[in-house]
Amino acid sequence: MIGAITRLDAMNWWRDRRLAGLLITVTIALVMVTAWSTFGDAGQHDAQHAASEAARDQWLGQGDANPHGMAHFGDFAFRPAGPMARLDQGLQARLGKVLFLEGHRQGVPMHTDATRAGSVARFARLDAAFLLQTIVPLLLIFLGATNLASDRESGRLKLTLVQGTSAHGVLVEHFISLLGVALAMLLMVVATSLLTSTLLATNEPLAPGRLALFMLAHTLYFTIIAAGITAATAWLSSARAALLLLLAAWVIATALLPRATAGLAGALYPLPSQDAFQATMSAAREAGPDGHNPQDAELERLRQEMLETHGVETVEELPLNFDGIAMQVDEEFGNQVWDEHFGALREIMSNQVAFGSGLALLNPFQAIDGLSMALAGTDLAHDLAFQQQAEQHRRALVEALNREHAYGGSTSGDWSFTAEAEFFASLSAFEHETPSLQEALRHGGLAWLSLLLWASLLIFALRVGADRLERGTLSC
Amino acid sequence: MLKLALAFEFRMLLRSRTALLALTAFLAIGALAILTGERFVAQWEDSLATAEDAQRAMITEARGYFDAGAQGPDDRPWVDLAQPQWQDWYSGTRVARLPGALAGIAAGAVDPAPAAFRINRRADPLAAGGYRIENPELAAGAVDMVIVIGLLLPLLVGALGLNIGSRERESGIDRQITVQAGSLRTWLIARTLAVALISACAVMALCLACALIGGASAIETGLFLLIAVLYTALWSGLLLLVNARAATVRSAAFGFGAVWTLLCVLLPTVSAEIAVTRVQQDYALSETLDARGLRYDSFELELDEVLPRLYQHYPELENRPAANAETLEPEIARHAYDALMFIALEERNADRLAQEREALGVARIASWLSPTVALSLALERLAGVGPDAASDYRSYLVSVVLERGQWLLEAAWNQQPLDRQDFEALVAEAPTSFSVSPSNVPQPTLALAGWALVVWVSALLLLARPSDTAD
Repeated sequence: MIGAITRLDAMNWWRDRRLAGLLITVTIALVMVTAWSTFGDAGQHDAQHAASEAARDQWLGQGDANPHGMAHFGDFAFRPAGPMARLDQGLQARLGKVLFLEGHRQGVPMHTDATRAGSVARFARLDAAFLLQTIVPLLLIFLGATNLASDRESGRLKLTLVQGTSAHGVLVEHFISLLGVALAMLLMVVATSLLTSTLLATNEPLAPGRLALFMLAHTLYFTIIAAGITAATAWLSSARAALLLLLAAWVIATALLPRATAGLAGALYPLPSQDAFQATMSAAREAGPDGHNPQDAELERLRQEMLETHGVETVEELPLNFDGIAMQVDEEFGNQVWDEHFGALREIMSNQVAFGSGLALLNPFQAIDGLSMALAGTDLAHDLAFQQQAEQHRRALVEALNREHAYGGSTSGDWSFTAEAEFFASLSAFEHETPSLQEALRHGGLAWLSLLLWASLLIFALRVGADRLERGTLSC
Repeated sequence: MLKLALAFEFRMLLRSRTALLALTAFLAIGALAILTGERFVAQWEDSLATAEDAQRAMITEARGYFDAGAQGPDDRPWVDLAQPQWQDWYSGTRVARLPGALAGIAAGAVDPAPAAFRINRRADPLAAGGYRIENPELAAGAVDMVIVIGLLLPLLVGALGLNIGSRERESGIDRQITVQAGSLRTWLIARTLAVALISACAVMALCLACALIGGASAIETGLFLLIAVLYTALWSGLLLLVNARAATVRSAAFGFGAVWTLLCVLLPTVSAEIAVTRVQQDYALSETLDARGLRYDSFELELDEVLPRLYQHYPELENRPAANAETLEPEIARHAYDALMFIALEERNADRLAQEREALGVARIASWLSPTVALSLALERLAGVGPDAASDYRSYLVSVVLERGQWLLEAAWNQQPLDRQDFEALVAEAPTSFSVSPSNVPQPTLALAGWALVVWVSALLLLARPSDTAD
């Protein structure tokens, strides 16, 4: 009998024109969408490289120049796509792709795809993760809500049990049928993505560790879905009740709870407006030294100190360019202000995300959504890592330019000083380093716990349901 | 028949815990969306107040210098309020973008424009970001009225009317109804209309609450209600279409669930994917590298190369005193280079508008293919929030920056030092705030009406086929 029920399920689905049609449609959609996403991701990867190279060419093309002039000329950091964005685009469309790096100020990532894509960008993107996490569970509901019910309604369930097959065996086989469909789809997604990558000859292979965990997380998620559907059909007496309950659960989990969580997190941990944030930053910045103001009181004190140290009367007599020193003092104060204010902003965002992660314990969909984005490198944490790396690069770049301005051989007040092109060429371009897998998973503990808890809970419900079917306390 | 069906549906609603729960949940989530909208508008208004305070502070500071007879702050000797560039700076002009009365209904829209923008000779409206600092993990899931009406209203219609017809067929009482009511077809239509009426009342209550809280005009309220009612009509038509065929409640649930997933989830998602993929490989090089290159290249130009282009674009300057000067003073000459940036700004904005027209084209096509997209487009335009409204505001800002540029050039080319009177005139003539009026709403509304009409006609035709009814 073992295996027969699974085969029967497959046969029933194939015989029902609607279900077979749905199964074929979702399969084709998964293959097409995965290939499309992989193709788009490869194109974006190339475009990002081309943009970075163009920025570097422009930087090198400036030739001999004033170091502080080059600090204002600035550099651009172009955000690369996540390492597995071809499987889960995550938040990428809503993240700024370009960050301008210059002296005196920290940039805000600009030019999001969502702002350029028009009104429809408010909806989720169609990618493999969306289909796996949202549409495949719906497909499983349509496939599975009738399985046990039709056994029950046709009297087949009673007959099977009378013949000696355990209720556990029956339920496990229905569960395996559903899980098998879902896992086949997951494997198909990964295979399609790998095949498309090979055909496109992309240089970015899917990271094996991330991919393995992506598959493990989705396997756990599908276990929850398959166990939940089978348990619902075991516990509820009619297919109609099971279908309606499962559809309601699907709507609540995928459409309502994530939005309610977002609304609550936003209300509990409100972010300031851009204007209020910038006004506070400007006020704090104005309290410190202004590198461009020769009459700034704080810089005047520093100037006097340096004159005394070097035993000279005027800044022109100093063996260095004081303007470069002043710019660096200004820069370091600006960095402190930024760290303080941006740090507070990041903390609010982290609290919002932590609140969402906490509620993911209630909703496995939110858990898999967050985990999948983290593994794909398309979540907020990866974006913040990009911003942080870009800011570190900006600081190192501006410091090097200020040092050249101060010690490169010019005297104070000489704004006509130019450093040689070789100096600017020796300053490296921005290169983004993808956070390691450990870093990516640092905030994912609750999500894994949620998936494990839900899987255990629903498998337990399935087991109790089977016991009750055998004892006859559930109708068969 | 409708009266009878309405009384019947009302009794069913009171008896059914599921239906009552669905209605209560819909209204509760709607109330939450209204609160979200209120918070959104309050934050917008806070931003406006911050901008207004900053503008006032700068004007007060400048007036202080005039009162003291100083040309500017003591520790910034290069500041001279007799020069147009410093009058421009200290006027602190902010162009506010006022929220519409219904702005809160589209709080979850992607809106890349600021609430207020500072105008000066260096201003670049194309580089302005939105006024909200958004956590992208939350921004992707805001509950606003667009979501409540777009996604949840169809579910309410389904929860109230999924068993119409199929329950009768399942329990075998369809023949009895034909005998008692005369026609199952009429009975189904009447019950569907009753469900539509109950759903419409619920959604209209939420719409009216939004309109009252926001202080919407009669036209805005009317349009809002019309859009909500059309969407209700569309989904009740789809319900009738599904129920006309469904033999069991289970197959009705299957059919309605599939239709909802297709129209509310898949088609909008496909539209979003197509729209985002179009721009995915665009790293905004024209607005970053090219714009910077243009700026630095223009600095390399000799004044002799710049002036002909300046006079070609601003011919009236040729009649001003500076045009006859043998050599231009550096303070005046720098404005000639500014003029190149103004000319480039016009061209860059034209390019951006062309890009946005393409994006709008995608959204327009999507609105004919998916009623949910049509609804979100109509509501965002009615609210004055979203990419279209942001684009209108940005174009206004570009025109205002260009006007300010013209003022700067004329003042510089007059070669006369400016005084307090000029400053006050500049402050008094500051551009007016930008406020949106519901525009371009007809196209998506028409798409919704078209959908509703097609669906209802199809449902009625399906019911008219003898083999599909129990008559």
